[in-house]
Amino acid sequence: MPQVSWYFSLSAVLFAIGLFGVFTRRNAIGILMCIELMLNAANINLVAFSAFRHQPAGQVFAVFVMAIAAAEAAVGLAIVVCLYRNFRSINVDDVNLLKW
Amino acid sequence: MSVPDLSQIHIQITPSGFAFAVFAAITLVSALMVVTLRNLFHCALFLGMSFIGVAGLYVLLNAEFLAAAQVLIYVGAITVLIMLAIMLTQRIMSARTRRVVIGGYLGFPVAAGIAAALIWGFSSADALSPLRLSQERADWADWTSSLSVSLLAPYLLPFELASVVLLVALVAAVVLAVEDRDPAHPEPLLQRGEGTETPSPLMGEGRGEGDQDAPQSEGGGNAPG
Repeated sequence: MPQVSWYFSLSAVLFAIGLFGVFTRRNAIGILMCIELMLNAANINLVAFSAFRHQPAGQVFAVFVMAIAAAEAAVGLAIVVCLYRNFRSINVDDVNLLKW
Repeated sequence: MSVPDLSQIHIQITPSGFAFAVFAAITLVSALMVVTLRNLFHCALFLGMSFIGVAGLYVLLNAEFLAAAQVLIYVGAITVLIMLAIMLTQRIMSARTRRVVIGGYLGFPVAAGIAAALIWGFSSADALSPLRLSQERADWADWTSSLSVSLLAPYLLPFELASVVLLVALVAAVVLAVEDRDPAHPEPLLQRGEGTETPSPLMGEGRGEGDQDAPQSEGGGNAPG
């Protein structure tokens, strides 16, 4: 049987992969994809706690995380499309108007 | 990186352990592909593969409703949304992204350190007494019904708030992404050197006439001022 630490280790590695992608990607859509990976890692943790503690609250919050992730993806991709329309580029390095 | 249970994986190969290994491998390898591949469209495809692996892990964790929701929402909606955004903003087959070199040198030790710290912190979680996965596999209906009951009885207000958040976010996405044909701002906000010399053929063909008209009107407006 998989122990609970297996799931935790898996989600930690998945979170680290997403974090590495956020550090290294310059494309805004790539960064959004890596954020989705990190949200999935958090979801694995929530569901693992829920299953191993026999409480459905973790699954409830995983549902909420999914809803927020969907909203985040929709708004983020709309911003990316809007960004591309104005800058002709979705590299985050090219968008530095508010950066001092 | 020290995975604490590597010896136990080799010792006891149960069917659920084997399934966990398969789904974990699918998830992690696809996630690595998402992070490292240069073609953004291939990254989106591997992102969907990684979501499918996570859905398999949800099935192993007695969360069948979440597995179905994962497939429907993530694989079915978010991945397709990301692919549509890539098609709208990039040349699809030649969308080679560059990556930050200093970010790669800095990001790998930071990410590996965080992963090692998390795994080290979680490695003692097996010793906690109430953490035991239920053995009987026929109780998935109980899990789904208890999830629905707790969604509608104790967490009713967050549930309704989540629906309101989704509605507002989708309306905001439409408002952001809709193309305003406002004659007051016919020109793009900022024309960088890189942006102007490499216009995308995908957007350039569709909006060629509008873009040709736009600088003339803007130039006429700017000339007296």
